[in-house]
Amino acid sequence: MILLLSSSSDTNLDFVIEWLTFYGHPYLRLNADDPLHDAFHLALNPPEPPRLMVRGAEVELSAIGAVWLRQFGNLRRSRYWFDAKNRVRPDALEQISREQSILLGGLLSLLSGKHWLTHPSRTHVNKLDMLVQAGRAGLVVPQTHVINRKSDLRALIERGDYICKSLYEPMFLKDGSGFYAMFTTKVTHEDLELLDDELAPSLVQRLVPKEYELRVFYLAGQCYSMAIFSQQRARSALDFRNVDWTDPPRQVPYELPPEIAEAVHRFMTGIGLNCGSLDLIKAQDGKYYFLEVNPAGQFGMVAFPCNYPLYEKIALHLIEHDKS
Amino acid sequence: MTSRKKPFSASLAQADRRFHSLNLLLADYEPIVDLARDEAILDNKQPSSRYGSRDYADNRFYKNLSMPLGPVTPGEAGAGGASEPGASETAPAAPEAQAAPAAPAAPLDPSKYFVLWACCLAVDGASRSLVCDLQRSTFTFIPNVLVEILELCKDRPISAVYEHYQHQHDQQIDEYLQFLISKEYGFLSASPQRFPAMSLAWRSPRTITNCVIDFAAGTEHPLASINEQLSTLFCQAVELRFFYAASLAELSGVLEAFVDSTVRGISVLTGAHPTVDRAALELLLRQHKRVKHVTVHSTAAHDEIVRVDLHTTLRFTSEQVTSEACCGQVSPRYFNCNVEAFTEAVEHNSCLHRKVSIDARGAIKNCPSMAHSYGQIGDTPLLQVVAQDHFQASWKVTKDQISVCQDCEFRYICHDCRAYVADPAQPLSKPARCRYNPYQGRWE
Ligand code: SF4
Repeated sequence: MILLLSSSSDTNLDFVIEWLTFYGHPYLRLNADDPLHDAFHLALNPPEPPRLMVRGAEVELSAIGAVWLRQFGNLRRSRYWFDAKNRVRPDALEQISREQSILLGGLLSLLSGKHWLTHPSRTHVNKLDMLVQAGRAGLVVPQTHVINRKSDLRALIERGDYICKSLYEPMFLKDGSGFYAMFTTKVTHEDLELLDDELAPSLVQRLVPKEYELRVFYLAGQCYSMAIFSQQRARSALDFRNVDWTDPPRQVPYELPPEIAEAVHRFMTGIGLNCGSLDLIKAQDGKYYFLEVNPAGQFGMVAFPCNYPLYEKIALHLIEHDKS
Repeated sequence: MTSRKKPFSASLAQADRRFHSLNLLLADYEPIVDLARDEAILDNKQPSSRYGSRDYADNRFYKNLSMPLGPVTPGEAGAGGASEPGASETAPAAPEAQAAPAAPAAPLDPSKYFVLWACCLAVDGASRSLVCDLQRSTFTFIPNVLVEILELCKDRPISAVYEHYQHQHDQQIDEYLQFLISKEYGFLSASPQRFPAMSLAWRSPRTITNCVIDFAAGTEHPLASINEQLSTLFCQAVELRFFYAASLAELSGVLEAFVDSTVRGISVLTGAHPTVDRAALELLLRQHKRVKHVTVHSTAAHDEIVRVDLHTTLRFTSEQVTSEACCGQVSPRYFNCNVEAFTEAVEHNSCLHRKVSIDARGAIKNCPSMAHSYGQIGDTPLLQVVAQDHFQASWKVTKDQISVCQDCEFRYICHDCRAYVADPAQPLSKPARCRYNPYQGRWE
């Protein structure tokens, strides 16, 4: 049996579930927030094997061969959080959320011997480490600095164009009837006026003039790539997320040169990821630059415009490893 | 990117800025343009125990059954690309007329390759051809010779294309390609091997993707069971057609049956009833998020289209829809120019493929307008019907097999009709209600 671990808001699972049903393969979906809604019972009585009951039915842990792990957590986006946030004291809610993460972690360790599509130890990656690892695998990366002094920043932008981005996942800060959007931004001399002499450690990268942008969905050795001609539109030139969806730039299937596909494979194998989405740039200097890897990427954005059967590929991968 | 309107740092006291990182300080303020619309998107969620999602938002629903995909407001006629029959008369068959206003572009570099974007596909017709832009849901007419040129462009640089025509038409070829570039249908590349064609394979795990359910006054369908059966088949789209003026209470009673379902989009067509006004329908749409389109027919001279939110439209029309015989029209308003619809039409019937219908008398059919019934919904399981070879035979009838349509440039974006055909003695004749003549390139 295939176990699908995700959150109840992840619609990517719906499509994979349809394919598993199509191929007549048994599966169980467990959402991270299910234990907060549905009947759930985990019994640990060593030396007896652990027992898990979900929605009143026993889950045969030994019958599980493959596990697909995606965004198993993120309580803040769950229906539970939505319902509970105005009824439970914030500190108590914080405590429940920490307890919940121990439960999820415990569940993952019960499944340690299974075939994982994204191993639990690999669901979070470090942006800086990824640059080092990509470089080691033979991918070109933009020149990168972490600075905390305005003087260092000034020295950099006097030598060339630099962008800044978040060291962690970017976020939106809500404010009044709008929000502050943390997009990748070019650092200008005027921006320096907005700073104090010191700042918290910040990621700055050499701006790589793009010919086009690439999204690569990697699955077990295969690269499914899409080129995005974000340069066609000023808005999305630096950050594709800032795109105007009423007039989107061209997004088309792309064939990576074999040596780049091999380097991607080396890189993903090296960091222990069998699945993930990569952001690359085909630069005006002709080189391919690695920017980031996201272990739980939104591959629908590659699958639909390029007509790649990615949901079916994932289902088939899980079925194959569930059997063996 | 250069004019920063209101960075986050501006909202901070100078002394507090050093506690923040650069990307935060430079985060740009974006007002929420249309809060109601954004909330509608976030809110566009409905549960399905079949998937185990607690809720999901999905707008990938391309079989827009009763709602034409063409222009929804008169002003959008051009943007939709699907012009009214009369209007296509004026669309130039050759691109020069459109390309002319653009400033004379720099000559093309003949050492490069011309690449049509993979989402832009040329389809040849008897008298003229089309470029279908499947990403933007638009199309443009091109002369047939350009399809031939584009074929040559696939494996040789522009210089070799010139050569193919013994340099007799260099300038004309340039003009054609410049036209395609100016419309963003293609680009020049030195490495065309990096830009493969898009696969035209259509794959779906769902046995049934769309279902039509008809109601006449007095119809009693076992709706809960229908929803359960359709969900087992992973059906995505349902069209409910009422050939009479159903009351609001009746409509909401029917929709109640689809509260937990794999169906991602419902469109409703119903007659004008005093309780079915705009305000009442907007409320109904808020309760039933799966409902994406409501069309109220037989209104007293009331024609209006209301965009409720990004995914939802409401339409009032004085047109009368009194039975299933009112279907089968062919018009650019109903053209479907996107990846899913186009690829499906290449190897399948663009109307009947993976469709099941339940007519107003409860008969299970391919289409309510067709004569053959496979049994009554009360006693025959849908699963058993849709698995039959005979039932699936019509799924495989492509436009390439249908006379006249096979010569028409619209064949992969036009939806077919097998219920009303031009010559009933010839099952593979073109839809009876199509007025287009591809040999003349004219709507008649
Ligand atoms: S001839 Fe056939 S393909 Fe062309 S518009 Fe008419 S029905 Fe559609």
